[in-house]
Amino acid sequence: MPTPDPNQIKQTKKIDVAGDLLSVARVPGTEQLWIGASDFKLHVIDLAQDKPIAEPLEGHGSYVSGVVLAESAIVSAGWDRKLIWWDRETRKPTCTVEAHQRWIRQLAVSTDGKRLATVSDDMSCKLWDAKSGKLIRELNGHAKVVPRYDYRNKLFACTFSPDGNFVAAADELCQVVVWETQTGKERARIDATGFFTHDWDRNNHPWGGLRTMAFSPDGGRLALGGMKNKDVAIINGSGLVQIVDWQSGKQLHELKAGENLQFESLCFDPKSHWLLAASGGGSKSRLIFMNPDDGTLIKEVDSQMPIFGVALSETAETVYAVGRQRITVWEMT
Amino acid sequence: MTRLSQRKLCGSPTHAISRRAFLGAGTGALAAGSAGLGLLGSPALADQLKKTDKRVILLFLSGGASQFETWDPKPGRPTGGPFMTIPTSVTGVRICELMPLMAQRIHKHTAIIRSISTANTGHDGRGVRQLLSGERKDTGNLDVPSLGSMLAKELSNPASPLPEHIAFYSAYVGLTLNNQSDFAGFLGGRYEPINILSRLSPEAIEVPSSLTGKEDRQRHALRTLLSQRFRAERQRDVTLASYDAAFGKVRNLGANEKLFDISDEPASIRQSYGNSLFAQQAIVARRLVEAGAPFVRLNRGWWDSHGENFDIHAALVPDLDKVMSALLDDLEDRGLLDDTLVVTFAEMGRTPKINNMRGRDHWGQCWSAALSGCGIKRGVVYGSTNADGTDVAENPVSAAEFFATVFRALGIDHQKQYIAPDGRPVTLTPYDTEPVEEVLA
Repeated sequence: MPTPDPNQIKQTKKIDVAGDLLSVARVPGTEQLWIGASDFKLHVIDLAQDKPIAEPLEGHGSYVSGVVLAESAIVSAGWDRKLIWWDRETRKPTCTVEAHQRWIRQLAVSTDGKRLATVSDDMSCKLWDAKSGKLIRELNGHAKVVPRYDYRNKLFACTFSPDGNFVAAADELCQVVVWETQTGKERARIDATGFFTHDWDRNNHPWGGLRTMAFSPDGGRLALGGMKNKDVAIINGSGLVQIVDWQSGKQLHELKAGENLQFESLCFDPKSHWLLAASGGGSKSRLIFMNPDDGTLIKEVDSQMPIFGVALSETAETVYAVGRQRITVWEMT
Repeated sequence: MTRLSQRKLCGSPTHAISRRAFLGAGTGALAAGSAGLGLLGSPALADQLKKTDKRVILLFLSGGASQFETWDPKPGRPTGGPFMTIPTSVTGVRICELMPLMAQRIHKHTAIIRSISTANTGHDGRGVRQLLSGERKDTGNLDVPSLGSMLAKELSNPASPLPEHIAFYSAYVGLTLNNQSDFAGFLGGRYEPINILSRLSPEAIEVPSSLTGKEDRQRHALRTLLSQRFRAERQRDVTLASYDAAFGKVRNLGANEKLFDISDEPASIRQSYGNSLFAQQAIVARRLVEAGAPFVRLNRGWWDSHGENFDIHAALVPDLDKVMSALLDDLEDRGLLDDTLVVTFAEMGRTPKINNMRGRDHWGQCWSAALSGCGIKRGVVYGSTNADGTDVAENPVSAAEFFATVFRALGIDHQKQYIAPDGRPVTLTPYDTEPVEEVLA
C-alpha cells in the first residue's frame, strides 16, 4: 500500500460539539471516537452514522486530558487526578484509580496496549498495567520547582517508544527524560532549550513551549513539538518541531512553521515518510506535514480550529482531529 | 464610644478613635500639611491616628489575576476551567484548589469581596489612573491622587525616618512598560512612590565608594543649604517642601539599608514565604512596616493570561497563596496584623470566557479582592457573582466603595477633605460613597 500523500489532504467531515475536546482515541476498524472534553465528560461518537451525536459519559471531576484504547478497554485521565477504565459496550466505568497527587496532563499507551504512562504536575511519570490498573513503576527525574522563580514545575507530555522499552516525559523547563520501562533506569536526558523562554525581568515567569513528543517508528528518533514563545502572556511565536537522536541528544532537524501557533499533537506515519504536527495553542490553527528525514515542510493546511488531539487510521490515510468545539476528519486518498 | 464609631472605625478597641474627634476632622481649622497643602483636619485627631501607627501592604496582582482561579471559582461551568475547589476554614466557603494555605486562614485573617465591579479593562493609561484614584466622577479633570499616595499621606508618621511610600515590582511589565505606579498629584512628591524594580532594595542607596563619610556629610550639608535658600525665595510654592522632605527620606534609606537585607531573617521565616522574588520582596515589606513605613506596595506581575491562563495561574497562584499566608502569619506573630491592613487587589479581573488560546482576557464587570488584618471582619465573604461568573449577582462594590472600605478599616474618614491647588475641596472618596460595612470589624 502506498504511503498517504499529504499533498492530497482534504477535510471530509466537520461535526460541531460544545466545549473544548482535549483528547481522542479511535476504536480500530471503526469510526467510533472516544473524546475527553473540558466539560468533565467523555464523549462517544460514531462518525459512520449519518447524523452522529456525541453521547456524554460522566465520571471525571475536571478536564479529561487523556483517553486511550488499551486492549479492549477505554482508559481516560483527568485533571481530577484520576484514571478511569470504561467498558466499551456498557459505557460504564469499571475501575477508578486515584493516580496522582496533582493534575494529569497526558496519558499514553504502549503499542501493544498492555501498559499506560501518565504525567502529572506532581512531577512524576507513572507506568500502569493497562489491564489491572496496578501501578508498575513511578519515574522521577524532573525538577520539582522551576529554579530561580521557585514556581512549581509542570510535566506536559509523555510517550512510549514503539517497542515499549522506553518512555519519555517532558517538563516546563523543556527537559526530556527517557527511562527504560523494564527497570526504571534513566537512559537519556535531553535539554530542549530551543523551546524555553526565560523571562525574569519582563513577566517574572518562565515559559516552556514543549507540549508533545513522538518516537519515530524505528524508535531511534524522538520528535518534539511546541513553540518558541516570545511573550508569556499570549501564545506568540513560531510553531517549532525538533527531531533528535534521543540516545545521543543530538538535534537532527528543526522546523519552524507558522506564527502564533503551538504544536500539541505529533504523529509519524507508520512508514516514517512524514510527521504530522497539529497546532492547538495560538491564534493560528494548522496541520503541518514535515519530512522527518530532512526537516523540510511537505504540506501546511489551515485546520480552522485549534487541535488538541489527533488519531490516525490504521493506514494513516485518515486523520481524526478534535479541538475547540469541533471534530474534523481529513482524508489523504 | 458609640456603637456607630466602633462599627465604622478600626475594629480593635485599643485603637478606637473617638467619634467626637472624628467628626471634628470635618470642621477643623485649616491646617498646613507638611506639603504646604490646605488640609482640613483636626490636629487632635491626627495625633490620635498617629498613635495607632496603622500600616498598609498592598498586594497588587499586576496584569489582572483571574477571580476564577483564586477567590471565586465556578467548577463544572463552561467558564470554570480545570481547577477544582477546596473548602476553607469558613463553613460553606470554597476557593480555588490553588490556594490551600489561604483556605486554612480565611476565618482568622481575611474578608473576600467577590463583587468588585469596575470600569477599567486596561493595564495602563487613563483607565488605570482612574481606577487607582477610585474611578470617581466628581472631580472633573483634576488629577486626584491615587489610593497608595493618599494612604501614604494619611498614615504618615513625621517622626519616622522612612519614606511614606515604597513600591516593589517583580516584573518590569507593570512599571516601565505598562505604568501602573501610584501618583501623588497635588499631595506632593513626598507621597510619590519610591519604586524598586526586580530587586530587594533601591538602587544606589549606598554612599559611593569614592566618597568618605565626611565628604558625604559635607556634600549633604551643601545641598541642604542651597535648598533652603532656594525655598526661602519661593515660600508660596507648595510642592518644594514636599520634595525636600522626600529627598530627606530617601537619603535616610541609606542609613536604613539593613531593612532591605533579609539575610538575617530566620530560616523558618524565609522558608514560609518561599524563594520567589515576590516572596523576598514581601519579607522586606514586612520589615519596612515593622520599622514604621506606612505604605508598601508589592506589585506582583505579570498575570496577563491571554494565553495559557491555567498554566500561568498554576505557577503564580500557589506563590501568591504561600506569600500571602506567610505574610499574614508573620504579621500576626509579631503583633502587627491588627494594625496592618493587607489589601489584595489588581487593575481588573479576567473574562469568564476562555478564549482560543486557553486564555482569559481583560474584565472589570465582576471580580474579586481581599482585605486582611486591620479593621477587617475576618471570615466574611461579601457579594457574589452569578453561576457562570458573568455578572454580579448581589452587592456590587465599586472602586470608590472599596477604597472607602480601606480607609475606614484604617480608621481614616473616607469623607475627609483635601483642598486642591485650585481651591476645590476634594474628599478622599466621592461624597456619596459608603464603605462596605459588612467586611468592617
